Amino acid sequence: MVETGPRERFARLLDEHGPALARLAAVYEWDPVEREDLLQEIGLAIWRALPSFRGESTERTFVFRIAHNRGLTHRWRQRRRGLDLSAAEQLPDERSDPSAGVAEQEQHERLAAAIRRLPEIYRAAVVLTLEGLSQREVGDVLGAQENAIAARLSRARRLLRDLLNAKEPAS
Amino acid sequence: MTHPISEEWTALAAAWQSAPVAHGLSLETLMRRERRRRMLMTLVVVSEALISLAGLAFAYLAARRMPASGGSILVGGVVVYIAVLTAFTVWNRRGTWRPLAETTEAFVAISILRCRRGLRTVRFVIGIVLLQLLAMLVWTMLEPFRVGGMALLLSAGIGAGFLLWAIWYRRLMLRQLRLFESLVSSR
Repeated sequence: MVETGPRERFARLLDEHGPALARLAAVYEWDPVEREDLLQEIGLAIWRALPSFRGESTERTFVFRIAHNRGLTHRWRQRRRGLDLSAAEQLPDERSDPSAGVAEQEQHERLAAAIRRLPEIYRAAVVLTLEGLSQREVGDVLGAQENAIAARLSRARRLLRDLLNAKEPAS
Repeated sequence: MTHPISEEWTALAAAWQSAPVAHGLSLETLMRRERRRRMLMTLVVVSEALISLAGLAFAYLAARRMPASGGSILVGGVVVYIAVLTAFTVWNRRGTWRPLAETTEAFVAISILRCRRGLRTVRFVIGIVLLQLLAMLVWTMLEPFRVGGMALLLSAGIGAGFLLWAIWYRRLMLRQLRLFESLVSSR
Protein backbone atom coordinates (compact mmCIF):
# COMPACT_ATOMS: atom_id res chain seq x y z
CA MET A 1 0.00 0.00 0.00
CA VAL A 2 1.44 3.39 -0.96
CA GLU A 3 1.16 6.01 1.76
CA THR A 4 -0.02 9.25 0.29
CA GLY A 5 0.19 11.40 3.39
CA PRO A 6 0.51 11.66 7.16
CA ARG A 7 -3.01 10.40 7.76
CA GLU A 8 -2.36 7.21 5.84
CA ARG A 9 0.93 6.73 7.68
CA PHE A 10 -0.76 7.32 11.01
CA ALA A 11 -3.57 4.89 10.16
CA ARG A 12 -0.96 2.26 9.31
CA LEU A 13 0.81 2.82 12.63
CA LEU A 14 -2.46 2.37 14.48
CA ASP A 15 -3.14 -0.86 12.59
CA GLU A 16 0.30 -2.24 13.30
CA HIS A 17 0.72 -1.16 16.90
CA GLY A 18 -2.81 -0.63 18.18
CA PRO A 19 -3.10 -3.93 20.06
CA ALA A 20 0.35 -3.47 21.62
CA LEU A 21 -0.59 0.05 22.71
CA ALA A 22 -3.81 -1.25 24.23
CA ARG A 23 -1.87 -3.87 26.22
CA LEU A 24 0.58 -1.22 27.36
CA ALA A 25 -2.25 1.10 28.44
CA ALA A 26 -3.63 -1.77 30.52
CA VAL A 27 -0.41 -1.73 32.54
CA TYR A 28 -0.72 1.96 33.35
CA GLU A 29 -4.47 2.00 33.98
CA TRP A 30 -6.72 -0.76 35.26
CA ASP A 31 -10.05 1.06 34.95
CA PRO A 32 -11.48 0.36 31.46
CA VAL A 33 -12.92 3.86 31.00
CA GLU A 34 -9.74 5.63 32.12
CA ARG A 35 -7.71 3.17 30.06
CA GLU A 36 -9.64 4.11 26.94
CA ASP A 37 -8.93 7.75 27.69
CA LEU A 38 -5.22 7.02 28.14
CA LEU A 39 -5.16 5.10 24.88
CA GLN A 40 -6.72 8.04 23.08
CA GLU A 41 -4.10 10.33 24.62
CA ILE A 42 -1.34 8.02 23.41
CA GLY A 43 -2.81 7.95 19.91
CA LEU A 44 -3.07 11.72 19.86
CA ALA A 45 0.49 12.16 21.11
CA ILE A 46 1.75 9.90 18.31
CA TRP A 47 -0.19 11.95 15.76
CA ARG A 48 1.32 15.20 17.08
CA ALA A 49 4.85 13.82 17.15
CA LEU A 50 4.68 12.20 13.70
CA PRO A 51 5.73 15.29 11.69
CA SER A 52 8.98 15.47 13.67
CA PHE A 53 9.87 11.81 13.11
CA ARG A 54 12.79 11.62 10.68
CA GLY A 55 13.64 7.93 10.98
CA GLU A 56 16.26 8.36 13.71
CA SER A 57 14.86 5.22 15.28
CA THR A 58 12.49 2.49 14.18
CA GLU A 59 8.80 3.31 14.06
CA ARG A 60 8.20 0.77 16.80
CA THR A 61 10.71 2.49 19.10
CA PHE A 62 9.18 5.88 18.26
CA VAL A 63 5.66 4.69 19.07
CA PHE A 64 6.61 3.00 22.32
CA ARG A 65 8.60 5.99 23.57
CA ILE A 66 5.57 8.18 23.23
CA ALA A 67 3.29 5.59 24.77
CA HIS A 68 5.47 5.13 27.84
CA ASN A 69 5.92 8.86 28.34
CA ARG A 70 2.15 9.30 28.27
CA GLY A 71 1.78 6.38 30.64
CA LEU A 72 4.14 8.01 33.12
CA THR A 73 2.21 11.28 32.93
CA HIS A 74 -1.01 9.36 33.47
CA ARG A 75 0.37 7.62 36.56
CA TRP A 76 1.42 10.95 38.02
CA ARG A 77 -2.07 12.37 37.45
CA GLN A 78 -3.58 9.36 39.22
CA ARG A 79 -1.38 9.94 42.25
CA ARG A 80 -2.18 13.63 42.22
CA ARG A 81 -5.86 12.75 42.37
CA GLY A 82 -5.10 10.40 45.25
CA LEU A 83 -6.58 7.39 43.48
CA ASP A 84 -6.14 4.00 45.10
CA LEU A 85 -3.79 2.25 42.72
CA SER A 86 -3.48 -0.90 44.82
CA ALA A 87 -7.13 -1.84 44.19
CA ALA A 88 -6.44 -2.24 40.51
CA GLU A 89 -4.77 -5.61 40.42
CA GLN A 90 -7.71 -7.81 41.36
CA LEU A 91 -10.26 -6.57 38.88
CA PRO A 92 -10.84 -8.31 35.55
CA ASP A 93 -10.85 -6.38 32.33
CA GLU A 94 -14.51 -5.96 31.43
CA ARG A 95 -13.70 -4.63 28.00
CA SER A 96 -11.57 -7.54 26.83
CA ASP A 97 -12.17 -8.98 23.43
CA PRO A 98 -15.10 -11.42 23.89
CA SER A 99 -13.85 -13.68 21.15
CA ALA A 100 -10.64 -14.55 23.09
CA GLY A 101 -10.37 -17.77 25.08
CA VAL A 102 -11.29 -17.39 28.73
CA ALA A 103 -8.17 -19.15 30.02
CA GLU A 104 -5.90 -17.02 27.85
CA GLN A 105 -7.66 -13.88 29.01
CA GLU A 106 -7.34 -14.83 32.66
CA GLN A 107 -3.67 -15.62 32.22
CA HIS A 108 -3.14 -12.28 30.52
CA GLU A 109 -5.00 -10.39 33.24
CA ARG A 110 -3.04 -12.13 35.97
CA LEU A 111 0.19 -11.20 34.24
CA ALA A 112 -0.98 -7.60 33.71
CA ALA A 113 -1.93 -7.30 37.39
CA ALA A 114 1.49 -8.59 38.42
CA ILE A 115 3.25 -6.15 36.09
CA ARG A 116 1.25 -3.25 37.54
CA ARG A 117 2.69 -4.09 40.93
CA LEU A 118 6.27 -3.88 39.73
CA PRO A 119 8.25 -0.73 40.52
CA GLU A 120 8.01 1.85 37.74
CA ILE A 121 11.63 1.38 36.73
CA TYR A 122 11.09 -2.31 35.94
CA ARG A 123 7.60 -2.10 34.53
CA ALA A 124 8.53 -0.32 31.34
CA ALA A 125 11.41 -2.70 30.55
CA VAL A 126 9.19 -5.73 31.18
CA VAL A 127 6.31 -4.57 29.00
CA LEU A 128 8.57 -3.65 26.12
CA THR A 129 10.31 -7.02 26.33
CA LEU A 130 6.96 -8.82 26.35
CA GLU A 131 6.02 -6.91 23.21
CA GLY A 132 9.02 -8.46 21.49
CA LEU A 133 11.52 -5.60 21.58
CA SER A 134 15.19 -6.53 21.87
CA GLN A 135 17.20 -5.25 24.82
CA ARG A 136 18.81 -2.71 22.51
CA GLU A 137 15.39 -1.46 21.40
CA VAL A 138 14.22 -1.33 25.00
CA GLY A 139 17.31 0.73 25.79
CA ASP A 140 16.50 3.06 22.87
CA VAL A 141 13.03 3.66 24.25
CA LEU A 142 14.07 4.20 27.84
CA GLY A 143 17.38 5.94 27.19
CA ALA A 144 19.43 3.32 29.03
CA GLN A 145 22.37 1.09 28.16
CA GLU A 146 21.76 -2.48 27.10
CA ASN A 147 23.51 -3.95 30.16
CA ALA A 148 21.40 -1.77 32.45
CA ILE A 149 18.28 -3.12 30.74
CA ALA A 150 19.56 -6.68 31.19
CA ALA A 151 20.07 -6.06 34.91
CA ARG A 152 16.58 -4.58 35.28
CA LEU A 153 15.01 -7.51 33.46
CA SER A 154 16.87 -9.99 35.59
CA ARG A 155 15.62 -8.33 38.77
CA ALA A 156 12.14 -7.85 37.33
CA ARG A 157 11.90 -11.50 36.39
CA ARG A 158 12.50 -12.55 40.02
CA LEU A 159 9.90 -10.09 41.26
CA LEU A 160 7.38 -11.21 38.66
CA ARG A 161 7.93 -14.83 39.55
CA ASP A 162 7.15 -14.07 43.19
CA LEU A 163 4.08 -12.04 42.27
CA LEU A 164 2.71 -14.69 39.93
CA ASN A 165 3.28 -17.33 42.60
CA ALA A 166 1.35 -15.09 45.01
CA LYS A 167 4.32 -14.54 47.31
CA GLU A 168 5.59 -11.22 48.69
CA PRO A 169 8.36 -9.98 46.39
CA ALA A 170 11.86 -10.13 47.85
CA SER A 171 13.22 -6.67 48.65
CA MET B 1 21.79 -22.44 22.98
CA THR B 2 19.03 -20.20 24.29
CA HIS B 3 19.80 -18.43 27.53
CA PRO B 4 17.38 -19.70 30.22
CA ILE B 5 16.11 -16.23 31.00
CA SER B 6 15.20 -15.74 27.35
CA GLU B 7 13.07 -18.87 27.42
CA GLU B 8 11.16 -17.54 30.40
CA TRP B 9 10.57 -14.25 28.67
CA THR B 10 9.47 -16.03 25.51
CA ALA B 11 6.85 -17.98 27.48
CA LEU B 12 5.67 -14.85 29.24
CA ALA B 13 5.55 -12.93 25.97
CA ALA B 14 3.36 -15.64 24.47
CA ALA B 15 0.99 -15.36 27.44
CA TRP B 16 1.10 -11.55 27.26
CA GLN B 17 0.26 -11.34 23.57
CA SER B 18 -2.14 -14.26 23.49
CA ALA B 19 -5.21 -12.35 24.59
CA PRO B 20 -6.03 -9.83 21.88
CA VAL B 21 -7.29 -6.51 23.14
CA ALA B 22 -9.57 -4.34 21.03
CA HIS B 23 -7.86 -0.98 20.91
CA GLY B 24 -10.66 1.13 19.46
CA LEU B 25 -8.32 3.79 18.11
CA SER B 26 -9.62 5.61 15.08
CA LEU B 27 -8.28 8.59 13.20
CA GLU B 28 -11.63 10.41 13.24
CA THR B 29 -12.00 10.16 17.01
CA LEU B 30 -8.46 11.35 17.58
CA MET B 31 -8.91 14.30 15.20
CA ARG B 32 -12.00 15.39 17.14
CA ARG B 33 -10.03 15.17 20.36
CA GLU B 34 -7.22 17.23 18.83
CA ARG B 35 -9.66 19.95 17.79
CA ARG B 36 -11.07 20.09 21.33
CA ARG B 37 -7.55 20.35 22.79
CA ARG B 38 -6.67 23.25 20.49
CA MET B 39 -9.87 25.06 21.36
CA LEU B 40 -9.09 24.67 25.04
CA MET B 41 -5.55 26.00 24.61
CA THR B 42 -6.86 28.99 22.65
CA LEU B 43 -9.36 29.63 25.41
CA VAL B 44 -6.59 29.62 28.04
CA VAL B 45 -4.44 32.10 26.10
CA VAL B 46 -7.40 34.41 25.45
CA SER B 47 -8.44 34.24 29.12
CA GLU B 48 -4.95 35.21 30.28
CA ALA B 49 -4.94 38.18 27.92
CA LEU B 50 -8.41 39.26 29.05
CA ILE B 51 -7.43 39.04 32.73
CA SER B 52 -4.41 41.25 32.07
CA LEU B 53 -6.57 43.75 30.21
CA ALA B 54 -9.15 43.67 33.01
CA GLY B 55 -6.41 44.42 35.53
CA LEU B 56 -5.28 47.41 33.48
CA ALA B 57 -8.83 48.65 33.03
CA PHE B 58 -9.51 48.35 36.77
CA ALA B 59 -6.33 50.25 37.57
CA TYR B 60 -7.27 52.99 35.10
CA LEU B 61 -10.76 53.39 36.58
CA ALA B 62 -9.37 53.46 40.12
CA ALA B 63 -6.70 55.98 39.08
CA ARG B 64 -9.36 58.38 37.81
CA ARG B 65 -10.68 58.70 41.36
CA MET B 66 -7.28 59.57 42.79
CA PRO B 67 -5.00 62.61 42.63
CA ALA B 68 -3.14 62.73 39.32
CA SER B 69 0.20 61.66 40.79
CA GLY B 70 -1.31 58.78 42.72
CA GLY B 71 -3.27 57.62 39.70
CA SER B 72 -0.17 57.63 37.51
CA ILE B 73 1.72 55.58 40.06
CA LEU B 74 -1.14 53.08 40.29
CA VAL B 75 -1.44 52.58 36.53
CA GLY B 76 2.32 52.52 36.12
CA GLY B 77 2.59 50.00 38.92
CA VAL B 78 0.03 47.68 37.34
CA VAL B 79 1.78 47.89 33.96
CA VAL B 80 5.11 47.06 35.58
CA TYR B 81 3.46 44.25 37.58
CA ILE B 82 2.01 42.63 34.44
CA ALA B 83 5.27 43.10 32.54
CA VAL B 84 7.29 41.48 35.33
CA LEU B 85 4.85 38.54 35.56
CA THR B 86 4.98 38.00 31.80
CA ALA B 87 8.77 38.26 31.66
CA PHE B 88 9.19 35.82 34.53
CA THR B 89 6.77 33.33 32.95
CA VAL B 90 8.63 33.38 29.64
CA TRP B 91 12.03 33.13 31.34
CA ASN B 92 10.97 30.36 33.70
CA ARG B 93 9.57 28.21 30.90
CA ARG B 94 12.82 28.16 28.89
CA GLY B 95 13.97 24.64 28.11
CA THR B 96 10.96 22.97 29.66
CA TRP B 97 9.23 22.13 26.41
CA ARG B 98 8.61 18.39 26.54
CA PRO B 99 9.14 16.64 23.22
CA LEU B 100 6.77 13.73 22.91
CA ALA B 101 9.11 11.25 21.29
CA GLU B 102 12.16 11.64 23.52
CA THR B 103 13.47 8.66 25.42
CA THR B 104 11.79 8.02 28.74
CA GLU B 105 14.98 9.08 30.49
CA ALA B 106 14.95 12.48 28.76
CA PHE B 107 11.23 12.81 29.41
CA VAL B 108 11.77 12.21 33.14
CA ALA B 109 14.67 14.68 33.20
CA ILE B 110 12.54 17.42 31.66
CA SER B 111 9.68 16.58 34.01
CA ILE B 112 12.05 17.06 36.96
CA LEU B 113 13.15 20.39 35.49
CA ARG B 114 9.52 21.49 35.15
CA CYS B 115 8.92 20.66 38.81
CA ARG B 116 11.91 22.70 39.92
CA ARG B 117 10.78 25.61 37.78
CA GLY B 118 7.36 25.25 39.36
CA LEU B 119 8.93 25.59 42.79
CA ARG B 120 10.77 28.65 41.53
CA THR B 121 7.40 30.08 40.48
CA VAL B 122 6.14 29.59 44.04
CA ARG B 123 9.09 31.55 45.45
CA PHE B 124 8.51 34.26 42.86
CA VAL B 125 4.82 34.56 43.70
CA ILE B 126 5.54 34.80 47.43
CA GLY B 127 8.09 37.52 46.71
CA ILE B 128 5.64 39.45 44.56
CA VAL B 129 2.91 39.23 47.19
CA LEU B 130 5.27 40.51 49.89
CA LEU B 131 6.35 43.38 47.63
CA GLN B 132 2.74 44.19 46.90
CA LEU B 133 1.88 44.28 50.61
CA LEU B 134 4.88 46.49 51.28
CA ALA B 135 3.86 48.83 48.48
CA MET B 136 0.33 49.10 49.87
CA LEU B 137 1.67 49.81 53.37
CA VAL B 138 3.92 52.57 52.07
CA TRP B 139 1.08 53.91 50.00
CA THR B 140 -1.21 54.21 53.00
CA MET B 141 1.38 56.31 54.81
CA LEU B 142 2.16 58.78 52.03
CA GLU B 143 -0.51 61.47 51.99
CA PRO B 144 -0.57 62.41 48.31
CA PHE B 145 -1.12 58.83 47.22
CA ARG B 146 -3.26 57.53 50.02
CA VAL B 147 -5.59 54.74 48.95
CA GLY B 148 -9.02 53.91 50.25
CA GLY B 149 -9.99 51.01 52.45
CA MET B 150 -11.55 49.11 49.56
CA ALA B 151 -8.31 49.14 47.59
CA LEU B 152 -6.42 47.89 50.64
CA LEU B 153 -8.93 45.11 51.23
CA LEU B 154 -8.81 44.08 47.59
CA SER B 155 -5.04 44.04 47.60
CA ALA B 156 -4.95 41.98 50.81
CA GLY B 157 -7.54 39.59 49.40
CA ILE B 158 -5.61 39.08 46.17
CA GLY B 159 -2.40 38.57 48.13
CA ALA B 160 -4.04 35.98 50.37
CA GLY B 161 -5.41 34.20 47.31
CA PHE B 162 -1.99 34.02 45.72
CA LEU B 163 -0.46 32.72 48.96
CA LEU B 164 -3.04 29.94 49.21
CA TRP B 165 -2.38 29.01 45.60
CA ALA B 166 1.38 29.01 46.30
CA ILE B 167 0.96 26.59 49.19
CA TRP B 168 -1.18 24.22 47.10
CA TYR B 169 1.06 24.42 44.04
CA ARG B 170 4.23 23.82 46.08
CA ARG B 171 2.75 20.61 47.51
CA LEU B 172 1.78 19.50 44.00
CA MET B 173 5.24 20.17 42.57
CA LEU B 174 7.01 18.43 45.47
CA ARG B 175 4.81 15.34 45.03
CA GLN B 176 5.49 15.23 41.31
CA LEU B 177 9.20 15.82 41.87
CA ARG B 178 9.39 12.90 44.30
CA LEU B 179 7.69 10.63 41.77
CA PHE B 180 10.01 11.47 38.91
CA GLU B 181 13.14 11.50 41.09
CA SER B 182 12.25 8.01 42.31
CA LEU B 183 12.42 6.83 38.70
CA VAL B 184 15.94 8.20 38.41
CA SER B 185 17.18 6.87 41.75
CA SER B 186 15.91 3.36 41.00
CA ARG B 187 18.47 2.74 38.26
